[in-house]
Amino acid sequence: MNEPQLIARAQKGDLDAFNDLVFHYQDMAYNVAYRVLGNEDSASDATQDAFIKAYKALHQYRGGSFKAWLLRIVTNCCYDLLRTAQRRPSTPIDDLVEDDEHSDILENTDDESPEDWVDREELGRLIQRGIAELPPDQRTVLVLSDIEGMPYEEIAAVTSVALGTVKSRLSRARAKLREFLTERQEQLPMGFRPSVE
Amino acid sequence: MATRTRSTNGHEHRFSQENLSAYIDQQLTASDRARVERHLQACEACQQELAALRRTIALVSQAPRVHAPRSFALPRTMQPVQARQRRWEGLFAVARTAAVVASALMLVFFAGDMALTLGWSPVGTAQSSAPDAAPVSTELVERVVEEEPAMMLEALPAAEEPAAEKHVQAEAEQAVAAVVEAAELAPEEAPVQAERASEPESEAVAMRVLPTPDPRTPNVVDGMGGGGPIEVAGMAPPPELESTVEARDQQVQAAEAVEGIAAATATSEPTPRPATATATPTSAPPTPEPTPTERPTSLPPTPEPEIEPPTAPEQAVAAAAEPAPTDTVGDYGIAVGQPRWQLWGWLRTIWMLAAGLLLILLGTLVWAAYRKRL
Repeated sequence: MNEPQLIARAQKGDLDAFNDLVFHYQDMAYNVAYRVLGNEDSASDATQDAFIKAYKALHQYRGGSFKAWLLRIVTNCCYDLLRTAQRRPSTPIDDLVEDDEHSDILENTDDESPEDWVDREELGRLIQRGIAELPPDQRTVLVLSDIEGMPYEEIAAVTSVALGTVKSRLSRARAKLREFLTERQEQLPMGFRPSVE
Repeated sequence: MATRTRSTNGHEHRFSQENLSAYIDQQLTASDRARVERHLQACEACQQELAALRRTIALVSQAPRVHAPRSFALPRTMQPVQARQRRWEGLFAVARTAAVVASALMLVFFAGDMALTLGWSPVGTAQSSAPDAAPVSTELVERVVEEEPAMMLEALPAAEEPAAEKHVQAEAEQAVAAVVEAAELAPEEAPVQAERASEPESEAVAMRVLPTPDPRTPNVVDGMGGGGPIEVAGMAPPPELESTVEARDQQVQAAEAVEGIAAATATSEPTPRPATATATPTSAPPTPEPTPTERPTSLPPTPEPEIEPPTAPEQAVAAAAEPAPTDTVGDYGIAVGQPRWQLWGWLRTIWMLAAGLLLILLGTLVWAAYRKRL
């Protein structure tokens, strides 16, 4: 995929070129939205909103990391949905963990045994509950860093904060999550429990 | 001493705890990294915390990724939105350009119209106080002399353009000024000018002749006035026969000149002004003639039967004595000029209406486009 070329074409209104970009980034965008929002439907809404907004705002994109530019829109859409959910407490966003369809959207690798996959699914649920307990800004930084594996600089670009802020937010998010998981060690799948102690 | 060590350790411990995350990601500076490592060697709690953090990060990274449950590709219906936007933008650009052009044209037109309307008042002043206005008139005449050839070329073919109108107006003003100027000429100069009016290349000489001030202005004004009601109005009849004859000469010559110039330049004034027509030829004559007495005989035959020059002196005196002798030249001016003036007037009206409609249309368009955008 020649990304700059696709972006240039999309900026001229070429919908096919933009949809190529959508196909390339939709899993990542949805994954981030899902981890930040903790809910499949909300994640779908946020992802779709983000791509529509990105298409409309494409003329404002001035080079740099397109991934970071896109993820900023995605996370902003997530924050919008979180604010809406806070105003309407009847739709608890953190209930995703009990979502029956959760396993449908999990990625499966071919060389993974069914047992391992079930373990990983359980782990994913537990971690999602831990992430849901974090404040949104720490959630985003943790998801981008430890799930998406993005460097600090790129996270700073996505969240529009200073590098030091990324560092401290991530530190606090990890500490809280460590505490959460330490308290629930017995809930961890057997293969993920600490061997000693 | 023990207290101080504990407080120092507490400080280092907090620093270490805060920076373990960045330490894992190797995001610390060399000095901070060394500081954390130094503390880690001494602090078991920090070692455990570091291990726990590493495990947590590993767990999070092992959490299964989710994939998009469906395609988020934008539907085709999104495309027309942008296409429509771009069409509006294109229309916008065209409307902007057209508006600028139309505004410029309107500006030129109104400026010309204004000059035409207001341009008369300085001339009127010059008539009432000729000596004061003389230098200005001279300047104007000089300008006429310079611009006339260009105007002759431009006036007819470019009649629809507002720029042409400007030229015509300028010509009109200058011609009127020339009348005033001519009114100040000496009698011996004026007849000479009239004599040579029929000759084509007369501008340069006119320039030389016109600026010259003359003490016997009233006489000439009377004589010249036979052609134009404006200068004549309020003037005393000529006392001498000779000057009247000269005046008649001038009338004849002027009439011919008017005919020629009017045909060539198509002086498209909205209102017929015989005075202007008379002035134009008078202000553009050639070399001086030494003997005024020869003039009657050397006159070329005039097409108008009414203009029977110096053969009947009494009639000439009577004609010249009339306060508003609008006969010959006035007739010429109207006969030749009025159809063109009318045509020009129609053109002006049509152009004004068209430009006004265009501006209204553009305004509506821009407004609609603006609303659409919002």
